[in-house]
Amino acid sequence: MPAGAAPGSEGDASPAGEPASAGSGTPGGEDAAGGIAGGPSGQEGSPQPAGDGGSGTPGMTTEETIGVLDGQLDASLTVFDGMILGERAAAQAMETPDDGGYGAGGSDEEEGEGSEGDIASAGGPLFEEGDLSESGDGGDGEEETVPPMPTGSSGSGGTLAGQPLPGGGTVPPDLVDGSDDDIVARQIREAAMKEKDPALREKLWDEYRKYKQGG
Amino acid sequence: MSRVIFPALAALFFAALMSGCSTTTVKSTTFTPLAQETAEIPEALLLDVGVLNFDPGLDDAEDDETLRPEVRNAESRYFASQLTETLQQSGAWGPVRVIPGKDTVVDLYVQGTILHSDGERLEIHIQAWDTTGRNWLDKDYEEVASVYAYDSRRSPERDPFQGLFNRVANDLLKLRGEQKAENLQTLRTVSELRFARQFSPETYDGHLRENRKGELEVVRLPAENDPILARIDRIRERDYLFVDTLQEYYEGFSQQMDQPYRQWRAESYQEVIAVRQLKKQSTAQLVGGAVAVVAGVAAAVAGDSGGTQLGGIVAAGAGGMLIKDGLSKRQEAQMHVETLAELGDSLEADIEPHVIELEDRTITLTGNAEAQYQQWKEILKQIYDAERGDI
Repeated sequence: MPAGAAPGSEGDASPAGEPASAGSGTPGGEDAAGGIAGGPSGQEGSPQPAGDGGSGTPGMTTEETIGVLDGQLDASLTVFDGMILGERAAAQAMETPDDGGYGAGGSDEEEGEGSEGDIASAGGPLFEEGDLSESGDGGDGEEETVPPMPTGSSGSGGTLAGQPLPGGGTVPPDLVDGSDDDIVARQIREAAMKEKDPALREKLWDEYRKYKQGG
Repeated sequence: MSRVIFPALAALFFAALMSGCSTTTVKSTTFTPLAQETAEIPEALLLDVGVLNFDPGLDDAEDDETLRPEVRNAESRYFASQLTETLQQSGAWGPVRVIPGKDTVVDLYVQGTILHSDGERLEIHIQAWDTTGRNWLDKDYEEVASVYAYDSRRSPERDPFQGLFNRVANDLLKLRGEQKAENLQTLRTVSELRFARQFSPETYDGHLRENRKGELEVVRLPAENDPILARIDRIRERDYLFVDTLQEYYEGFSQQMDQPYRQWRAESYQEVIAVRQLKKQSTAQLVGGAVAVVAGVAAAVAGDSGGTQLGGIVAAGAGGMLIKDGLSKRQEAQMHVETLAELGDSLEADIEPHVIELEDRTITLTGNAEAQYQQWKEILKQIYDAERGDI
């Protein structure tokens, strides 16, 4: 934090208030040490939640490991897009007094699930700047059309058996029921459903299977 | 005789003069139009601007019995939205958004502190600094609403204090115009690297450093086809999306607040004027009355003739009447102060649920985003480790 600069409020430790100060509550900030809170762990190669690190599997090449991690990142970005779409729909409802005024979008829980109705009503451009369809590796422009991930028992995975998926292929018969997925399982599942490379897709399903068994 | 009666009459005249002149209040303000950039600015030179919620300035306003904290808290968000909208209309910037905190990476930060706001006078302090930490602006702005500000026939739809926000925007536009193109590009690069460093410090810590002035400098640039940066760019798009969503919250809040707040301002304006006028009149009458009483008593006691004594008694009596009238006006002013407080209570009751709703939504969304961001950081760390062969 520059000594004489305006942002010199409490808690800032570097220019532009960049590191997350304790009370800022803003995502994206670094922790006090400038590193990653929690840090990576579990680098033994066993399938673990993304948050616990170690998504590699013995026998996987570096490229394959990175592919799996990219799949997790894609899936997580998709989840985020879904959450934001739901929130935007709620925010737009807030701006429409006829809809019951402020807070007409329903509870946070409802918004978090982001029903398809929410998505449809969100409409409009997603960004003032940037474009999801221009996403580079792995994004393949699907984010704008993929509905938000279901949460909890509302998982839709159980209805997809045998149906063609965005990435091709189908959900393996033993993995049809995704209703008890937690957030990590959902992300791996979503990544597998979107993956176009059959070999990598199979590895993702394996990861999913192992995670479910381990969880 | 004349030596004694003259001061008494002069005192009476002085008292009448003081109580009379305080009723003439003339207000005039000049509306500052918004300067707009007419030349087309290359995309690479457009700066993202983040406007932080204003500091409500409650610490310095503890003695103000008419101030309501929730009203100030609402104003802190309302003014941030108003300044955001004004800056957008300047046409000289990239996206301008209300941002939730200083951790959100933008090229230029703007924050205000509310020093005074009562419908008649708005005073704010504005600070602006860029992504390197360099100070751009540190200045007080004040505007007094004109007598026509709340007359819908004369000032339809115009915010009474829009001129103040225009002045802030104009100053920032001028400061931007003083920047060299290469400086503007550097700011964008620093922002990109700051964001990248937040998500992958192990990769980008060495790309920036703080100079002796405490400002960030670019040490080196990432490769053009840096795969980690490509991933982070995708994350940054989500960050834009997150901030845009918050923007919608703020816009919704401002719309909800607009009507009751304008009404409060208009009513408060009348009361504030009335209070000030009554207090001025009261003070003048009390002072003038006291002077007249003292001079009159002196004349009555020391007068060497019946006429002088009579003049003194008359002056003292008139002074007493002035004092009584002054006290009455002081009571009347206090009634207007109470009315102001009631207006504040009423507005507070109207907008408090909206403020709470906005806070709840902001905290919920920020919390959800934070969880995702943390996960992305961890995935990027694993990718970094995998590329180094650590997995």
